[in-house]
Amino acid sequence: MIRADSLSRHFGSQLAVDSLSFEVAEGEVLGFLGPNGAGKTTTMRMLTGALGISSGHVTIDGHDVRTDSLAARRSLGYLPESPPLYSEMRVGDYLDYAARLRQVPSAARRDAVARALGRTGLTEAAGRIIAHLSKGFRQRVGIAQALVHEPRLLVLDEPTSGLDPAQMAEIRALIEDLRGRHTILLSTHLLSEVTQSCDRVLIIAGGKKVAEGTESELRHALGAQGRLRLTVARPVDGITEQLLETAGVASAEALGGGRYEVHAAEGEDPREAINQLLQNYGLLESRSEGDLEELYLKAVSIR
Amino acid sequence: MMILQIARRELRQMVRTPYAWVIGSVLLLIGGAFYSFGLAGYADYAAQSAMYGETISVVQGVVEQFVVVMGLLLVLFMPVATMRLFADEHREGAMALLLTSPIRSWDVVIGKWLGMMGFWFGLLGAGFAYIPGTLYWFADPPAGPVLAGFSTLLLLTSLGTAIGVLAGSLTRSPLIAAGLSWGALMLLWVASFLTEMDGPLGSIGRTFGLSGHVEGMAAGLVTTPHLAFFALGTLFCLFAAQQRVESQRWS
Repeated sequence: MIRADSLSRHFGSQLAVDSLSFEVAEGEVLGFLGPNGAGKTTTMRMLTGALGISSGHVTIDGHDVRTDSLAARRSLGYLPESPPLYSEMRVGDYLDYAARLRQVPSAARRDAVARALGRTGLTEAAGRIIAHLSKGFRQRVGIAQALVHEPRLLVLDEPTSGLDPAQMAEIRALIEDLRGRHTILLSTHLLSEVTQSCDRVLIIAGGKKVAEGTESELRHALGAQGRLRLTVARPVDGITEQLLETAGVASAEALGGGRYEVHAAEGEDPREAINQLLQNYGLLESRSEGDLEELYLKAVSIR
Repeated sequence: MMILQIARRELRQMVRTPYAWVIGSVLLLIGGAFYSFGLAGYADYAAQSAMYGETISVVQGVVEQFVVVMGLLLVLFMPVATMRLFADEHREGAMALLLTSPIRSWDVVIGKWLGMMGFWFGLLGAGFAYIPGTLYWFADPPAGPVLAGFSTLLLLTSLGTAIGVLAGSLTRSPLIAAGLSWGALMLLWVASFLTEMDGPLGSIGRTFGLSGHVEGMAAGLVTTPHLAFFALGTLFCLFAAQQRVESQRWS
């Protein structure tokens, strides 16, 4: 669905995106992860045609963004970091306008708007003026405009940015609902969002790709074996041996004070078995040292 | 057609803003008052002139002056009306909606210009619809010069709106946009003062002097230089605005 090849973007002498190459398959949800200023938004703007490309090539649904720009833009819906709204318009009128701009045929436009309103939970708010909506609702309107024409690709730039936890949960549920119907490129700097919503992760920093793959692929690529830090309330002799006998455990070591370190065998995830085992000894803490946060920090620091 | 979709939104948005109604009311009030006084004055003057065997046509006595005064009023008010043409997009980040939709930057620029022209056409057409009727009630002017006079106002709004579109595309601030288009229009208006000078300055005044072109057209002189000035000026500004919108992909 997306094929980016050596994508670069200069702002004067500053290189914001540096020879970035990646692909997104049909129906996939790709998490675009990176610290602030990593080049996520610049990349997304180039993909969607909002920003010119200094060098490299991008195709969206087989259409080159530069040479076949209109066709490429027909295939996508874009939610920028700040939703592109006209505050003085009513929600329904705004979506109708967005549908017109996306060339939804007039006979299908009313249904398209109603469907977008329904999918984003805005049906009741269709007659409200956008300026009077909460930030969460404005974000919903932003998503609704991106999907009103049923694009094959949705590009969502930090869709939960600036929302409170309840609003974030609502938007994540909405994205979950969109999974399977659209290919989704989701930019975020929140690790929890990636683990909850994405099939695969692409980590960029300083405009360059530093890692790409599923969580287990990243763990493998970055040499981060699954490592668990455990703390129990009632340490007794023999716990280390019992841990070693647990399926999927490569090594176990007592650190003293009821703390243990366990390394999982490659490709294995013994956390559930270990948790069950240690319930008998008052498991206080089980922390996965090879989780996405560690991988992310490791990937970003490698750069 | 995407141009019409954008024009439709601009026009609907324009008529919903309070200042559009303020601008419309002030223009119609002043224009209407000037026309009424002009017509009353013309009636007296025509009666007195007739006693001395002189005649002055209603086109010269009323239409010409009305069009020139309305032209000057439009030069003053058009920048205020056009200043928000791109300001909404800049303020709300809605430019991303236009730039990532399957539409060309020409559609955006011409759509905005056309929407605003719809406003002027409606305002001047409906607001001054009584003028031809009263003119033909009191006098029997030839249709050509009257039509030329009122076409001048439409050509002027075409150029003024195109300048406003260009100014709006250059800045995020509506006030700066208004200042830029007001400055450009006033500069063009007073350029006519150079007309009497010799050499290149006089040539500049004759070519670019807005008030000279308005006065010429208002007098019924529908000549190629006048038409070309308005048409080419409009096209140049719209082309420059399109280039500016396209360049935003590179800023």
